[in-house]
Amino acid sequence: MSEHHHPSPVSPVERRVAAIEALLVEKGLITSDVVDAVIETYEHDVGPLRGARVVARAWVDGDYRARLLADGTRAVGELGLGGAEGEHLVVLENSPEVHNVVVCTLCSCYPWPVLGLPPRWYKSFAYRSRAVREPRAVLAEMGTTVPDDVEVRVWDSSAEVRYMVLPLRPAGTEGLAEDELVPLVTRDHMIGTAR
Amino acid sequence: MSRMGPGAGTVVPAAADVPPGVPRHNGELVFDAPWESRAFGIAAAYVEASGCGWDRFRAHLVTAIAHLPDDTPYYEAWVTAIEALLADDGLAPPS
Repeated sequence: MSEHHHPSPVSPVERRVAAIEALLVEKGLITSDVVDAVIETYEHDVGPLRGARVVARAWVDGDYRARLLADGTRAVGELGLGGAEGEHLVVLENSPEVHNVVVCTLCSCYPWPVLGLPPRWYKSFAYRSRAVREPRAVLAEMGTTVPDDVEVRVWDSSAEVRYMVLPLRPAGTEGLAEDELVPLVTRDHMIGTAR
Repeated sequence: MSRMGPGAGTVVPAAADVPPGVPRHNGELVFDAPWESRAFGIAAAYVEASGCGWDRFRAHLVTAIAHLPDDTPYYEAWVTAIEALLADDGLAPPS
């Protein structure tokens, strides 16, 4: 009998992925190095810290905030951010009267250049199907209670538009500099599942 | 649905203990298994190389998500979408 170690069996979906990669590499359409680089970038470099920088800038610079709300794609471009899934970025401003929440009911549209790839709950059937119908209940389950006198607006991403929420600047942070504000902004604030 | 994030209703406590400067400081690992990241990277590389843009891929992803059972792992729908996109382009992976 062989003493070789047998790794866990390859699942059907793993086989499909390997077959796709092998085909595209064989055809000279992609290289495995490029695939590795893409994965590395999205696992380590592109994430919600980028969006947090955008938010902090908007909090301290009223002119930037106005540009961000007028043309999100162009304004994040000023900070060197852009690329796939950021071509039509619309920034939604929270106010004391309005709370914005973003969903993609059909799939998983998400503003990659500012938030990275979406968390798994964003792609879940539960979130996609319930966020529009009962946003307050969904938010409550995620730990965010929106007061009754605050209007909740749900925005369904589409092939044309990606949304990001500009959260309210927290009270008591008036003395903080832009860099000190960055770590106060979470991914969930920019999706709108936190307020 | 799983409970997400710090669960705080205000901004300040949410990330107060997070070291600044780490790109994913309030993210999470986006892939659950190596094949998922592979599927993502392959699609991105192909979309880039073929110049076809993400819209065609997305159309297939929407179709795959709509047709597969609701509890299908997300990236399995992603794989189905890549296969459909390649089929459009006359590239049929061996099954």
